[in-house]
Amino acid sequence: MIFTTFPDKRGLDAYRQDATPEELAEFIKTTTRDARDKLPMIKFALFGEKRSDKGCLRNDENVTEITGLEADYDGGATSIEEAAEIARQAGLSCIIYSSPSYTAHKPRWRLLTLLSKPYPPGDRDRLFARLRASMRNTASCSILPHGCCRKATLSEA
Amino acid sequence: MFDPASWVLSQSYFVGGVNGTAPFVLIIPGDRIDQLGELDEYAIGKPNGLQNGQIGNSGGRFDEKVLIEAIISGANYHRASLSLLGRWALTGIGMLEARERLIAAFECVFPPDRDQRWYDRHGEIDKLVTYVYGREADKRDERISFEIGSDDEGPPDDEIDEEALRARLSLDHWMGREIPLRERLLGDVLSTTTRMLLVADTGLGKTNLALAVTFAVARGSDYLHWHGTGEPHRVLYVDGEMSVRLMRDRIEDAIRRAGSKPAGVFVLNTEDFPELPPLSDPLGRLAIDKIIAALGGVDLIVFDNLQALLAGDMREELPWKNVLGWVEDLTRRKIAQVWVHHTGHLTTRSYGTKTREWQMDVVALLESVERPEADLAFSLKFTKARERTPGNRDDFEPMIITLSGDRWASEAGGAIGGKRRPHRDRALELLREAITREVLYRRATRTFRPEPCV
Repeated sequence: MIFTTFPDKRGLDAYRQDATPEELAEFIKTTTRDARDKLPMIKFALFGEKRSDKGCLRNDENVTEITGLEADYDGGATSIEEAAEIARQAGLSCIIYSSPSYTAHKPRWRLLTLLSKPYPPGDRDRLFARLRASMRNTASCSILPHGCCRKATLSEA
Repeated sequence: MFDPASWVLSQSYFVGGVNGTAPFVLIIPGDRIDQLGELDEYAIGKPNGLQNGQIGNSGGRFDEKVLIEAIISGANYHRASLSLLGRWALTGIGMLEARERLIAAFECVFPPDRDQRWYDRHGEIDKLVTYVYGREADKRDERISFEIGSDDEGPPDDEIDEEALRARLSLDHWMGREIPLRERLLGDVLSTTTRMLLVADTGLGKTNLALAVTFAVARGSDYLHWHGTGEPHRVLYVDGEMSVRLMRDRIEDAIRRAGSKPAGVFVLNTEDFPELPPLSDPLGRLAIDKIIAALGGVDLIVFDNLQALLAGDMREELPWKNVLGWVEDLTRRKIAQVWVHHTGHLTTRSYGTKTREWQMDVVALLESVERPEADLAFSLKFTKARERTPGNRDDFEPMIITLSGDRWASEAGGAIGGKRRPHRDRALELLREAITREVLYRRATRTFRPEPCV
């Protein structure tokens, strides 16, 4: 599992990482800071040396390949457990973790999913649309009458 | 579902907890996202990925799924909605259900993707539904259509499958058809497919009688000489004429006379809903459909009365013509209807056009009779009774109905209390139904046996 971490949001330094899902999960669980802005950042992509005007490596022009996708949910309606169930039903391999502002009443979480191989940056929209479809068709579309949903709905499970 | 920033190529996210709070982390096994290619069928990422003329119509075939996805993806709202509604209207999907389906598709649009187009088109759904269904109703009135052959798509209109037509019209087909039994609501005068016109002169007691019938059906109890089903039902009473105060009085009276307050009775008084359009307006019918759905469905609706609930001149065809398609739709949905109506100068017939009686199964006429000791007294005769047979003739006999001291009574053949059908007859009738059900059940569950080899 190849990805990049940034020690903070400034993105002045970038570190290429190789870890198993379990190792990444442990890293997410055990990393704590006294402020959100001090937390490291993660990106399932590889970066070059092109910096922004502020010297940040984390910019679109500097992405050389994507190795996975990240999605942020702050809708506050779907719990992390429900999201996991949706992903299971979609047959999607992923890691879901709660974001720092997560509360039980207003769940916010992030989903990380890997690609089987690196892809050019231009493929990300297509693949992200697929990711969105995988999560959407199993959840919010369950009310549609004509089985546009690919998998069984939560309520049917 | 996801934050729009998630689309940004270099968007990165914080990982970890703050102030010692460890985040929840779940690992879900499965396939990698790039290996789930079949999801692309649903994954139309950016709006306007489809062009008008392409959606759902490739090669001339109607593809409902593609049309729904065109809405969900934001690729096309208007044309897809029109095509879907047109199809649903043609295939017998009720207007309410079509509306719900379309709304469901719109609601599936990812909230951040809901642009001004979405809001505009979402706001037009009711207008589109009424437009398409109104258009189809007009077409239906203008044509006689035959459905030939099976329920599958048949041959084009200009190619009649003569063999299938002969089979479809044959007596063998008729005798082999599995037609659902009537679901009675009150004796044989009211079943879930009955359309009844209850006609009476002003002040005779139409509302009291209609409410008494409403309560009996809701309770499943007998009323006068008509047998109840013993099962509770849901009844919507739509009153378009009386004030709220008067309606409340009538309801109180009905509860007292029935001796109970059945949970299945719902009363809508238009004074409480001043913005409810008349039923001759598609939006009025849509509103009633929404109310029916909100109540979880009903078995009977009483419309009190025709003149108050429809707009226009009751002598003309148009107000009733506007509502006719919906009346038929209610029947298809197995919702019995009692339409209360006034007589005109001639108290022996309903006011206005006679043609509305053509679509009725039962026409009941109330006429004044002299019974000074009674609070209400009128004669009742059925001038039309499609379901009348020698076996249930008593249910349709003319009678005099009175209300005295909060007790309803009917007089037929000279005896107060009405001529109830003997329980023996009723038992035979139930036995007959049970046998029919058994036959239908066996037909439905029979297994295929190959022809024996000779």
